[in-house]
Amino acid sequence: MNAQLLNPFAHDTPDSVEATLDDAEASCARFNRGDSIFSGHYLATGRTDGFVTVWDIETRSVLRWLEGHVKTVTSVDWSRFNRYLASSSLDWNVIVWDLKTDLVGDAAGGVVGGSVLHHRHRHHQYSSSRRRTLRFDSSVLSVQFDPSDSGRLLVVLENQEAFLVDIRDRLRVRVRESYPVDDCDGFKGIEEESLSPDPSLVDPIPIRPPGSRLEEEGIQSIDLDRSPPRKIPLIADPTGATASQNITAAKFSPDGRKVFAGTSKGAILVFETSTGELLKEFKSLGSNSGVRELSFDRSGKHLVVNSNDRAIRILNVTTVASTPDDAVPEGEHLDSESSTGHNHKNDQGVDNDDDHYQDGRHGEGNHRRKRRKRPGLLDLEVKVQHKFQDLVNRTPWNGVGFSGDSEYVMGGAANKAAHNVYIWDRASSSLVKILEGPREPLIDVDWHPTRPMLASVSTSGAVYLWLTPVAEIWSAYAPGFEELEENVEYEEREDEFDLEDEDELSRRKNDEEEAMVDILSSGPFKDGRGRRSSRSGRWGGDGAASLGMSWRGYMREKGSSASANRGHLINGAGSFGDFEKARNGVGDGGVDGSLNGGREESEKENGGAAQVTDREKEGWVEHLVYLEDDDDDPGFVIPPRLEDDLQDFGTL
Amino acid sequence: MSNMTDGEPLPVLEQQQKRQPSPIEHQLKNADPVPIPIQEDPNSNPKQPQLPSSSSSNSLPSASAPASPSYQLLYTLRGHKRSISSICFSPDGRLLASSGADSLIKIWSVATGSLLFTLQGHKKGVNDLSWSSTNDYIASASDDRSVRVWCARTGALRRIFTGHTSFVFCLDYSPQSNLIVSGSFDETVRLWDVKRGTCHRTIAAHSEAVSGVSFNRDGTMIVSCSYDSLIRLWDASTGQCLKTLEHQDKAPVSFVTFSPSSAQLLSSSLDSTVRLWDIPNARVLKTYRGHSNTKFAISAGLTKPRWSNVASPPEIYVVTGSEDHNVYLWDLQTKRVVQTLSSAHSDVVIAVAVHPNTQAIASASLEHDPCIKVSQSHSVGWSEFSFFSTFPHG
Repeated sequence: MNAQLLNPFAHDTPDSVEATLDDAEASCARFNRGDSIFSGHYLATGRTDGFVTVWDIETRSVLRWLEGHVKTVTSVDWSRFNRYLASSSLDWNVIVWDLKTDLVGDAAGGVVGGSVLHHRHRHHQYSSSRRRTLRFDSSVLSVQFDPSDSGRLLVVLENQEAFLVDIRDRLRVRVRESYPVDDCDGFKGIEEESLSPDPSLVDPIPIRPPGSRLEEEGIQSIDLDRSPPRKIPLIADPTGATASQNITAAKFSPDGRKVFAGTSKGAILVFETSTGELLKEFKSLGSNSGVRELSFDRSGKHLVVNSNDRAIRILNVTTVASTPDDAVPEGEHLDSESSTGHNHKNDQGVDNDDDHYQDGRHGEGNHRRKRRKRPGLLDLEVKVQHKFQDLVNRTPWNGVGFSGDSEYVMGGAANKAAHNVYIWDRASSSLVKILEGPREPLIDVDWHPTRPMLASVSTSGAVYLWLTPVAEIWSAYAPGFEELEENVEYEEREDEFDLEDEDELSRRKNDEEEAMVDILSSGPFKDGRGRRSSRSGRWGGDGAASLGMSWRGYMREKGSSASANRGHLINGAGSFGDFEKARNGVGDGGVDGSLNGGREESEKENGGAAQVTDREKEGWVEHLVYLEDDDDDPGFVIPPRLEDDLQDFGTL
Repeated sequence: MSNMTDGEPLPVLEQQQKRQPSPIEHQLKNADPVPIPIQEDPNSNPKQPQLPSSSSSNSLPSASAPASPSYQLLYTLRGHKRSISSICFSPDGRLLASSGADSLIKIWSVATGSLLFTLQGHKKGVNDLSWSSTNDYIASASDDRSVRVWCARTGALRRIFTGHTSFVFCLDYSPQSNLIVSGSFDETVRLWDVKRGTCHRTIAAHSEAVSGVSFNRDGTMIVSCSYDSLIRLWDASTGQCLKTLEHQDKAPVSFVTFSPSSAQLLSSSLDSTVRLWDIPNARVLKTYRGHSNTKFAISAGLTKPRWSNVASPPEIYVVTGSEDHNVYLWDLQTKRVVQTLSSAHSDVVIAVAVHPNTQAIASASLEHDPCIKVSQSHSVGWSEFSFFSTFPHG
């Protein structure tokens, strides 16, 4: 939010280790990100002793201390609104933590009784409740939340299996009812009167055209009987026709609709999130060696792949409109559905990898697996764009990813006696910088979502925070002072030294102040670079707008029938059937219909009418939009708790 | 209304009825809203009509004509023995905290108006208060040079921050509740690490007493204002100065806060002016005049937006106290005084607070009659006043 006032020419890559979280005992680290307005304020670390800790970046203190795993934590991930944290461990478990726990009484004799808590109050201020524990048949290598729904997880096991897990025990649905404004006679007059011809009014604050609809919203939740969480295995080779390959790494695409998985043979598989169905397979991406790690940039257009051949590849992920199978131009894509075999011309210009013709022999197998092509499904293309490697030292990489603005690619070098992070420019593929840290091997690294900041984890367990040095902006201390990059000749305005009439001046000032201001939406003063604008503020933005409108609805309905109707819609048996139908309609009624939820954003943006019921005849339209089970509060914070003198943290 | 500053007296609407309904009575009253008869001030300039019905001649189109609010007194809270300095609603709207020159902090239930806690511990008068975002803690700034953090559920003292070398005059809790920013007569702004209980950063911010500090919505920026007439914006994580705003009149600035979107600032200065600033362009967007404020650091606020009509922008009012014992409300867009809560107080109204969830405001006054008055706008929807009657007492 302060991005606009910062120096646009400041370094956007970190420089040096600014701080060390010493007793972190960390094995992995992740900044919080997603749709929280506080993204980048916290760092979750998994520890070698099985604890998970949540750090406050600004004060570098521990906010939460999560006790559950008994072996090294292998990965941590934040849910979309940061309320939940998932951790995976070598103890074969995945734990989903709920960071929102009320301060139940003051540990020492609070007003709200807390005798149970009293016994464990020593760690109480650090603890949070466990939402779910999932046990697998092998050590868990990584866990990731579906970026659009914190009720779904992607888990990769050490024995090279991957699962989509649905842990939701209830579905939350936003019911949006809308009806024409004309229906409510009480406000018709105002509606007409308020149609202002003044265009200046229209600009800052959206004004609805005539015949627009009043909308009101409510949230319903439906309990699901889902005591054992549903697991969908991601099967790399459904027909078993080719030599076996297994999934070694997997990530959701940023929109949550697809899962990209890397295999032990260096291929990239794409799965449908809702069903777990294998959609595509991309081979010959420059290497046959196994994929260690995958990471998407924010837009989902680029994928960085870390392979066992000690190279990092940037893949370009594009979608093209679906075309009939045989109309796909040759050489344009590498996917297995191409009936004309494989042509890798497009690799050639970018990537001079030796083995890139070898994949011809896998082509045979690919032909045998023709899958049904669904109409309307966008075709994916994946191309290798760049390849980075350390040719001299043949460094393997630990921890690859994009910078918060996706402009840079980072690779943590898995040297034996160095702690280096390489930073490349994504567009030009040139090496920008090598960050050199203490002589301890690096095991994980993460880039801050908005700032030029890195967190890297060394084998000693220390977490290093890399930053740019702070330079004082002296010109900011003077009002109305503007710094120039170079000398310019000043051109005085025609009337610069004219004496102006006082009245004229004040009148002009007055006129300037007549313009409407919008103090609720962020307007041009958006958050950070390219970041999705945060939704509503404490009481601002569209949240307030919809609230305001729903009050109108209540008034119209004399306060009771609106909510009653809404209850009827969900609870009534017939309506529930409609709801089921609608729910299945969102996805394609695949393996697990209930996995299809959570497309809140896209539904909204497309104006997606999920359901239209009988009441449409009366001018009513109801929309059902599936909400994720996360607390969809973009302002979710993890406040420090002050119940004890917290000096004893080191002794834990 | 003797302290008019700019020649032409501004018209003022007064409520005819001056009653003090109990919350229950208020509720009954609102179940069937009847407009209160509004009397136009005989001195009002006919070119600046105040009533929506006659607003067609405004320079602004009728869609934006101010629907006048009708705040009415709900109840009065008495308890402080000396001047009240600051009042603050908790973020969930259930509690109201007040501080005073009697070095006490009192926490009241908004629903019932009953006193829940009196927090005792400061050695001198308390100047400012701020709630943590989770409603759990309350921070106070005092003339005894300390900042203290109290548990709002038990009243227990949790942290004492010392380090300022003069009176601590203002403070704000960060949205993440991990930091507290305070401004002092020692001309510095300090950031305090709430968890560790230590000073996190000291910023030599101004050349006069720092009179107001505030965090923006996502906690990345801090604004400070001072009697040196400057408003400065700071990067919260580096302490860099990002921008300085100064009005050409160079009047001491006594209060500043961010707008809900954090793209604007609302400031009060001691030339009886409240200004709305555009941060990126360092420009004054709106100037609000009509009240009198030349001596005290009187707080100001923006009421919760209310959409009376889907097609028009929301009604938002700028609220501030005044040294003529009234509370003034301006329409955000038209800058006209739309209501004064006159004869509510019998001394300077030093502090106002805006309820986070409903159309309610609280105001507090100085020595002569140190009391807090909670008023609510008449035209509330049912969901709003039910809020006042349904949640558990205490």
